[in-house]
Order: sequence, then C-alpha cells, then structure tokens
Amino acid sequence: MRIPDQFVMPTGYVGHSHFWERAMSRRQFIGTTAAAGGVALSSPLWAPLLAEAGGTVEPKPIPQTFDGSPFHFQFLTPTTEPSSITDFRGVIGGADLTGEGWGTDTATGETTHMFTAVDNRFMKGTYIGVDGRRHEATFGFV
Amino acid sequence: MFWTNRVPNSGVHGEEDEGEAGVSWHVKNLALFDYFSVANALVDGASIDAMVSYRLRWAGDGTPLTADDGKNFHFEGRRTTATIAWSAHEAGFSFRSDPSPSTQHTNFAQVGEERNGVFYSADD
Repeated sequence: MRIPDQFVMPTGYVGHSHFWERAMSRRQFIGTTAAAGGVALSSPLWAPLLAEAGGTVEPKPIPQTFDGSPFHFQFLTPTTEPSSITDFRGVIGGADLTGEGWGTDTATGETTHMFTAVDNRFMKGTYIGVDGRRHEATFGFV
Repeated sequence: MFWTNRVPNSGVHGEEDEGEAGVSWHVKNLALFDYFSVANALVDGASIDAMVSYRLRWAGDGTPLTADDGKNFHFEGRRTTATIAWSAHEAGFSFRSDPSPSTQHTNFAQVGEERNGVFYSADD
C-alpha cells in the first residue's frame, strides 16, 4: 500500500512497511472502523509516537484467519480471540459498536446524517517480535 | 499484519468513574487512507488521505468473561459496554460522530488480559 504524500517515513522504520499501511474506507469512516496508523509529521502531537515507532519491531499475526481468507483476525465474539498479534501477553480491549454522526461537504457546508460501525481494538503489553525478542508496545486494530 | 498498527503507549488509560474502573483509549490525528469501501481497501484500490481522532471508552461494569480455545489464546476479563466519540477529515469532507450515548449501541465489547502463542501456557 502506498504512503500518503505529506507523510515522511521516520528514520529507522523503513523495514516496517505495514506501519503506514491503512485501509480505511469511507464506509469504514462512516462504516466499519475508525482509526489507524501513520503519522503526520506536521503535528507535534506525533513526536512521542515517532520516537516509539522508530524502535518498534513488528509483531506476528495470530495463526487463525477469518473464514478461509488470508486475513489473520477474528470477529469480536465471546469465544473468539480478540488479539490480532500472537506471542502476546497484556491488556486488550475490543469494541464492536454502531452509532450515528454527521458528514459535512466542506465545499458547500452541506451536512448529511450517517450511520457508523466500528471495530476497534488495542493490545498493550509484551510481545515476541519478528526478531524473536521480547518487546513492549501498544498496537491498535482498526 | 492485518489492519494492525503501532499506537502511542500513552493513549490507553485506566480510569475511575463513579467508583467503577473503566478503560479509555484516546488517539489523536492519526493519518490513514479512505478507501471508500471495504472491498476496495482489501485490494489496495484508489484512496485519499484522511485523518481521524477518537476516544473510545469501556465501562467499568460488566460481567466476567473467560475465553480459551485450548491451544491459541486465553482471555480473562469482562464483557461490557463501550462508547466512542470520533471525528475524521479529508479533502472536501469531514465527519463528526454524535456523542450521545442514546445514538450508540454496543454489539460486543470486552476488556481484560490475554495471553497467546508462546505465552499461552506460561505462568509467569
């Protein structure tokens, strides 16, 4: 996947291509999910994340895939695994939510009532990275 | 990794709310792509740059929940409710969620501790 033009890959992070990868659809925006990775260097708010991301070793996906697809995740249910990374131990939160909101055409100011659906999860703790070593970090599934 | 990214450690907080310990996750100005549809996203189709901020909160109450598939993972925590307030911006378009709890519905939410993979059977 491509990198947004206005974003700059942090030094030392070239090997982690998926950090910048984001698949958020208008339907996700307005539909299935709500957030994700990537960093806008224009914002000072990102300085801490850049520092953290610069040293991040990529985690490994869980072995389970969704319904025969190549995607390593499971839907949130009382019996399925909420984490998307394996060799992990820590705190996790997941939420499958529906809601409402307002979209605005910024050119005309016209607003539209919209419905939303979100599946967001965080995983904060210890993991064994692709380098075979233990690390501490927080990941988001979005 | 499928839709999994590093996020700031400082974004996750335990918090007290009227005596109940909830959990919140706050993310501000995350850059991402708007692919317009899930199908288009999965094939890395055309997209535009977007930015999103959100605050997701899991309530402090709920019912105990344990999940364990016997080989991959063990989760122990609680099933609860959650709320989200979020906004997004991209060229020509912005979105802001309705923060009213009355317009939100939790299909499923959980928070707790998990161990999997090499940690699945670990006691430490």
